[in-house]
Amino acid sequence: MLNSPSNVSTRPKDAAQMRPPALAWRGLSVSPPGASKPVLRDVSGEIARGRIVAFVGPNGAGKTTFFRALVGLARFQGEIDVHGRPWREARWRVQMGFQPPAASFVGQTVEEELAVAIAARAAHLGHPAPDRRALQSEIHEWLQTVGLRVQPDRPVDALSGGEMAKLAVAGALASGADVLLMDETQAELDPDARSAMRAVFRRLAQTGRTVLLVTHDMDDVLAADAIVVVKGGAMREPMSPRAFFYGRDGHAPCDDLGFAAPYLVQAARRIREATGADFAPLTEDEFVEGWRRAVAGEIGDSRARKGADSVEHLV
Amino acid sequence: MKSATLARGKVPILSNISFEASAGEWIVLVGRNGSGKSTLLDALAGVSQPVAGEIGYRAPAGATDVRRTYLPQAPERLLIATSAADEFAASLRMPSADLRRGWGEWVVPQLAPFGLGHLQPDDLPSRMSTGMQRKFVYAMALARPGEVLLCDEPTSGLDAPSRAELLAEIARFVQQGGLAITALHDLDEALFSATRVLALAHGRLVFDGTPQAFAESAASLERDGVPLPPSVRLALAIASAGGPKPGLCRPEDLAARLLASPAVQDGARCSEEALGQEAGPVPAAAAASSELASAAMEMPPPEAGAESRVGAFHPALRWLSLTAITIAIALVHRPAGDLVAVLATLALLAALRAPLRTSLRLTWTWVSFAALACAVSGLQLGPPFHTRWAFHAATAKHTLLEVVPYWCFLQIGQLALARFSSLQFAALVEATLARIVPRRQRLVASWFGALVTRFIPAVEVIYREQWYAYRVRLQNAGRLLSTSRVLVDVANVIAPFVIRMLRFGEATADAMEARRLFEVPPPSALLPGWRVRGRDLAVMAMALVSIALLVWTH
Repeated sequence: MLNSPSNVSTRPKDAAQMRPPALAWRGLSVSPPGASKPVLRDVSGEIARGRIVAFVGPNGAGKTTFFRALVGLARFQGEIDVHGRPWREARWRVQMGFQPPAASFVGQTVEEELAVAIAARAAHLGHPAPDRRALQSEIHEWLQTVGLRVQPDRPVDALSGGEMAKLAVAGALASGADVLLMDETQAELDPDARSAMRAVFRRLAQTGRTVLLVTHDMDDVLAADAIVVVKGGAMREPMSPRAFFYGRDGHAPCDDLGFAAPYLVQAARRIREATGADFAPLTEDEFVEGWRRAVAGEIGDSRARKGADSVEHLV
Repeated sequence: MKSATLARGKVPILSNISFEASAGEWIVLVGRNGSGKSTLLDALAGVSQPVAGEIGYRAPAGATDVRRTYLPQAPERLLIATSAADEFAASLRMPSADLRRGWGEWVVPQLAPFGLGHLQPDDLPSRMSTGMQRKFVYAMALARPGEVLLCDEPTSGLDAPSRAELLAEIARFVQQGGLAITALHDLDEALFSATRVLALAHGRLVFDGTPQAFAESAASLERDGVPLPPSVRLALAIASAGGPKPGLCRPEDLAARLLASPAVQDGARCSEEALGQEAGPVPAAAAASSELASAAMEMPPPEAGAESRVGAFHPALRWLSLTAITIAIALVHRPAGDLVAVLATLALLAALRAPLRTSLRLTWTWVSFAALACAVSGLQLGPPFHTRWAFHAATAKHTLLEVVPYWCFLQIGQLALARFSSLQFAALVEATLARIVPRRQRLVASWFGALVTRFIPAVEVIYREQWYAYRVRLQNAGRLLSTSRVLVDVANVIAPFVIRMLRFGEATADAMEARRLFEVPPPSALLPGWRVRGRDLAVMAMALVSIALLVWTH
């Protein structure tokens, strides 16, 4: 099992011809410096453009190692393609968020930090550096993109944790990256800031960026498009959040990994067991809608099973 | 706690907070970030004092005082970078040898519930991952927590099993008669074990009641700006879609309730008004308190104004002037020269708008140094060193004249340092080396300069945090900072500080490498133009006149 190649793909089959995936890796083995044997062994897979993919698994499974290899901080064997181009040519399109974010800032103020990122993009693409006015308006745009409402001359050390996280994302985007790797960058944020970051990631995905998350927060996993389980140096096929939390035939991967299912999922599972309906909501709205239209209808109405069909296309 | 007002620095955060709590209670503090939970916990722990009002603890019968254990956010800061056994010994004030002897029977059972049962007495907790360090600190604190346990976001950054274990440990502590007060975002589980919820918003206490009442008043709490945990949000969404009213129930009970109560098909409004009037939250005082809250939210960036105003001076010319005048002062040792040096420094301080507080602090440092130096040089101690006691005023005066320039150096140092932004410095290095040094080495030098400038404030932040953490740690162990142990105390702050700096630096190096910044010239478009303006010339002229006067006195 451990030595068999793992395959990961989040690409819808019919779209395969249209655009190359944001990331594709073949026969990838990574040994971080100091490790006696590779942490990831011969894994292959790809991630389509515009997706949010959560990587979950026990500590030491190789999630962080995978991310570090993608940004050139860990040596690897095998091939990586970024948007269909070899990694060496296109690696600047992949950027990673570091913890603590304050440690990755070089500029002293918000605008200085973004100016550095913009200069980096210009240098990697061989473009001339923008002048003052172009720079200022571009900085303003990036601040809006990530929803960071602070004065550009604000010192980076005076930002709150949530603002720092947004600035780190803005910096990565400004440096030309459209594949973002977030290695537990939200772990230290409060729930409000975490849900704000989820909204930022969703907006970025809608505009064609790809976001890879390593997270232990089950709410992040609920909001992802696909989940990749990394365990013992191998990667499993990506699955939908629904499959991860509700599983097939009452056997959910979430429980196998020892993660506590969120409250909403726990309540929904009970209703599912009691009614036999395909009730698998991922958000509050889905929960309420599904319950109102079908599950409660099924019990309130004496025509018992009739509502169950309507749930399937609903949730 | 009686009508206390709490502040952080000079910014008021919470006003008129009153509550009483007794043993056997588990109080959960709820509120947005910046709503004052940490400020309240700091005050309850005795790390900070209320601006007004009072906080008191009544010891139980038969005891002399109430022992408190406080675990602030990022509790791994509390570690003092020594072996596991010594960490425990410092916390429990026990000889390290005793702990090593009883490791298997006594310490391992404390660590095992957190998955740290494999630790040996000589393992270094500071080498573990942040999550493991946190678990270790909690295991250590819960080994002998005293009567009151104060925790700030204890579950943050922990994996699911450790979270559950930690909440179970707190529940156990409360059952055994302890008082626990915890700020907590992860409420879904804790609401079932906690006995009381305090919600903070707009600088005030907006709710004080049981978890049941908290869940029932969800609608009005949401209007007050209190963040609701996912379970309560779901209950609220169900209620507003015509389902059962929000209340505190476990997922299986919620499912049972939903299955039992048929949904109103066409979404009859379970109106928010009706819900809001049900329970009795403390009404939020609107005007005054929201002002307070907005003051708290918009923490003014420290010295940002001063920074940009001073930044308007030409950095290179300013630096040149200051360096030239420093050299001139160093070469002149005459009373008249000292007078000129002091006057010139005062003029520069005023012209470059140095912060008064810093100038006074430096002056105070210099005064203590000067007094000591004069005393040492002028004093003749008497037998057995000398035949008789005497004080040589002339020698002391000579020494005073010798040390006057040091006051100038301190103040000029203040002006020269820290007034470059990191990009300014990088661009300056890049421009200076442009013709002399090959591109690759020049870029490395520029970015290195930027990093050094950038990390002066960062280092200061980490250092202050480490001192705060150490004060908390001493307080938990029931000790105070004492002069007799000052060396140990400083070592206990410096060692973890250095380790944190190293980790910080590692992350920086990784980020620089991943961004490949060493191939990028530092951007200069944002910087003020290298145009020389009137005030730059004025500063230059001031420096030149001072230097001329200094030379003349020579």
